[in-house]
Amino acid sequence: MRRSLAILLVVAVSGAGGCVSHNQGSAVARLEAKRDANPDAGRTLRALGIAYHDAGRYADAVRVLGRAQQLMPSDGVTALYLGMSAEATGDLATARTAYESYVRHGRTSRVRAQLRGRLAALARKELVAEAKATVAQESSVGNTPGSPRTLAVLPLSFSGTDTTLTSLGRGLADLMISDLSRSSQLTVVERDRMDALLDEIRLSAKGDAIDAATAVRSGQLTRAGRVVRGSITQLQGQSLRADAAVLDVSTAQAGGALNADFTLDAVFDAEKRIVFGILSDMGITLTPAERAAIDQRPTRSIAAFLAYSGGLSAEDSGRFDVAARLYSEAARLDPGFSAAQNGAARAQATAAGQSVTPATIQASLAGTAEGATVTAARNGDVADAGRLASTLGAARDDLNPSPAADAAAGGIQLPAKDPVGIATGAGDVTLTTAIVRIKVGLPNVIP
Amino acid sequence: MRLAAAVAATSAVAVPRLAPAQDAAVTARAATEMVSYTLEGNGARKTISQVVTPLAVVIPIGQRFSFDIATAWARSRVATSGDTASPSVVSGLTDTQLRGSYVIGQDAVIVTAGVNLPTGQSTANAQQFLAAQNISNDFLLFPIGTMGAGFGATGGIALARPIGAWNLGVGGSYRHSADFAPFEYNDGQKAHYQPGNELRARIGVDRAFGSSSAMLGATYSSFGDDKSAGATFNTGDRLVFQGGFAATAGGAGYTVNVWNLTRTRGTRADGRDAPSENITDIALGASFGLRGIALEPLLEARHLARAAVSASASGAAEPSGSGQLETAGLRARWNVRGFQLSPGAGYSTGTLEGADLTGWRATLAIRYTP
Repeated sequence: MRRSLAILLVVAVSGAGGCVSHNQGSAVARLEAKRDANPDAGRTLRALGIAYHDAGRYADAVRVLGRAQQLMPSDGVTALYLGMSAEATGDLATARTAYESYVRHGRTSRVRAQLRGRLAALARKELVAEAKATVAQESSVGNTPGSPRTLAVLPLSFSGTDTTLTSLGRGLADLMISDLSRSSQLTVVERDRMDALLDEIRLSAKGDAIDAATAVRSGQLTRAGRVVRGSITQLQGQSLRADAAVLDVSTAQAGGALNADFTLDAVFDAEKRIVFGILSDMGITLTPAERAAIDQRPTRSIAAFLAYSGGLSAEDSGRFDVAARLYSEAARLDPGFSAAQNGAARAQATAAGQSVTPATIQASLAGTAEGATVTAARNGDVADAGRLASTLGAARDDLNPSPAADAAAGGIQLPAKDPVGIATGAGDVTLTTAIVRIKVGLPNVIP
Repeated sequence: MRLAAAVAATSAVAVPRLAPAQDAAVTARAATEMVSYTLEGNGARKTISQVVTPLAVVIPIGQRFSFDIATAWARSRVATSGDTASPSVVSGLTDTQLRGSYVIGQDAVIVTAGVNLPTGQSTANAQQFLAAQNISNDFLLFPIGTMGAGFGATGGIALARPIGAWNLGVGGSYRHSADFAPFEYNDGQKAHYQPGNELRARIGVDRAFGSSSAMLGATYSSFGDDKSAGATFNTGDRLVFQGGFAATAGGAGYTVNVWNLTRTRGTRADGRDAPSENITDIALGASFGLRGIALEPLLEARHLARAAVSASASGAAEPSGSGQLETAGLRARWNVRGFQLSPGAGYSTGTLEGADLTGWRATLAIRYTP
C-alpha cells in the first residue's frame, strides 16, 4: 500500500510539472480563453492583465485590469499592474490612482515602499506632462487674463561672483510664495507647477532667460493675473540688492519697482519688505494673523537657508539625490527648519521613485504571495487568491487540531492520539480482548 | 483521514487542507452523523456505533486574526453478544476546542494557540468505559475519538513561502495536557492519568497548476511519557504522510487522497508492549453537477498492519494483526439562502484481525455563512 502511495504521488507531481511550461503568447491565449468563458471573473481578468503587461500590450492590460479592479477593488496585484500598465501608456492619473490603491491594499511591504517613492516621482512626471500639454494648447488658452488676485512668482535671477549665493533667488522666491499664500485674498501658483511650466517654455523657446515676455507668457499659461519677477545682485562682499516688480499679465505693464539693499544675514528682512510691498501694491489688506504669519522666519540659520535654496535648485533641475542631500544638510543645520525636512523627505522619495521600474517591482514580489499570483499568470494560470494562506491554514490545522471543528466540517481528520485507549488496549476493538483488558488492566492505574 | 471522508464533502476531500486559513466571514457549521460498525467471527458479534452532532463557529476579526470554537454532542454504544454488561453506552458533550490564529506578514507566518476545554465526559464508569474507549480506534476512525481528555493547551507557529510554483509550509507546535480521570470505579475512586506532552513538527508543500492542485505533507508527533499511579508508559510516536491531487475535466472534479499513519511501539499500562501499527488510506472522489445539486461519489480503501507482541512477564504473546476496509459513499450538496446542505451515506465492508467487518454511515452537514 505504501508503494502504491509513492507511485501515486510521483504521478501527481510529474503531471503537475508537465503543465508549467508556457510561453508568453500561450499564456495570453489560455487566459483569453478563460476570460471568454467567464468574462466577469476578476481573478481571470487580473491574470490576463498581467500577461498583457508582460507582453507589452499595455492598453489591453489597462482595459482588463480596470474591469478587474471594479470587480476586486481591494486587490493589490490588480492595482499594481493597472498602475504599471497605465504609466506605460502615459495615463499618469490612472497610474497614480492605482498606485495609491496598492499602497492601501497591497500586501508586499517592499512594493508599498517602492510605490510611495514612485508616487512622488509620478507627481513630478504629471507636472511636466501638464506643462507640456499647457504649452501645446497655448493657442487655445488665448490671451484671456487670469484673475488679478491669482499670482505667479518666478525665481529671482542672480548676478554676482559668489557662487554660493547662486541659488538664493530660488530660496527667496519659495519664501515669497509661502508668505504671499498666507493671504486669504490671493491664490498663488505652486512653485513646482511654475517651474515645470518654465522648463517647458524654455524648451520651446530654446533659451534660459526669463524676460518680461516670458513672464507674461507664463502668467497667461497659468491663468495668473499678476506675475512677480525680479533679481538679486551681489554688490560688494556680503552686500546684496533685491529688485522685484509685479507684472500685470493683461497689459504686460510692471507695477512700481520694489527693491531692498541688504546683507546676507538680513535676507529675511529684505524678503519681508518686498512681500509687504507686493501686497500693498496689489491693494491687499492683511489680517493681524496673516501679518504675524508672514513675519515668521523659516529658520534662524542663513547657512541652512542657503543649503535649502540649493536643494530647491537641484530639485527644480531634476537632481533629486543632490536635492535630498542639500535639504538634509539644511535640516541638520537647523532641525526646526520644517520646510527643509519636508523637502528632504520629498526629494528622497522622488529619487527613490525614479529608480523604481516594473523590473524592480517584480523583483520585490519574488517569493511573496503576490509574486505567486504573478507567476501563475505568466504560466497562463489563474492563481488561487488564498493559496499561501491555505498553506498556512493546513499547517495550522495539523499543528493545532480541533477534532470537533473537523467533524463539523466533514472534511479531513487524521487519527488523533487517545492515550488512555492505547495505554489500556481499550482502543483495540477486537472481539475477544477488549473487555478482558479493561477489567484486568485498569487496576494497574488506580492511584 | 477519518471515514467521514467517505461521505463528506468531496471537495474537501479532494483538496485536503487547502481551504483558506481564514474565512472571510463568520461561518457556522453543524452536522449530524451516525456511524456503525459490526464485527463478527467465531460466533461472536460486536457492534460499535456513534451518533455525533458537532458544532463549529469560525469568527475572523480583521484580515489577520481568526478564532474558532467547536464542540460536539456524542452518543457512543458498544454491544457485544454474550457479555452480560452489554451494551456499554456513554453520551454527552465532548470537549470544546477554542483556537486563535494570527497571520503575520504577507501570509508568511501564522501563530496559533488553542485550548482544549474539558467540557466533555472525560470520566467513564465501568459500564461506560468500553464505549468511551472503543471509539478511539485509529483504523475505524469514529467522528469523535474521545469524549473528553482533560484540559490541554497548544501553541504553535508555521511559516509558508512560495518556492517557484510550489508553496512550502513548515511549522511546529507544543501541547501540554493536564491530569484527568478517565475511569471511575464502583466505589467512587477515580483513576488519574497524566498524558505526556507532545511536540509536533510538520512540513508540507502544495501547488496549483491550471485548475488542478496537489499537496504533500508529513507530520511527526513525539509524545512524552504518560503517567498514572506511579506507572510510566508511552503510546509511541506518530508519523503521518499525506498527499492529495485534485483536477477537473469535462465539467467534473476528480480527486485522489492518500495518507499513511505509522505509530511506533509503545508501552501499555499493564507493562506490555503497545504494538506498532501502520494504516494506509486511499480515497478516490469525483464531483459533478446535476440540476443544481453537486453529487459526490467516493471510493475509499484502508489497510491496517499491526506488529506482533512478544510474550513477557506481563502477558502472553499477541500475534500480528491486520485489517482492511473498503467504503463506497455518495454525498449531495446544494445551497439554499446562505446555507449549504450536505446529506450523504456510505457503506463499508472488510475484515479486522480475522473478524468480518461491515459498517454504514449517514451524515447531514449544514454550513451557514450569513
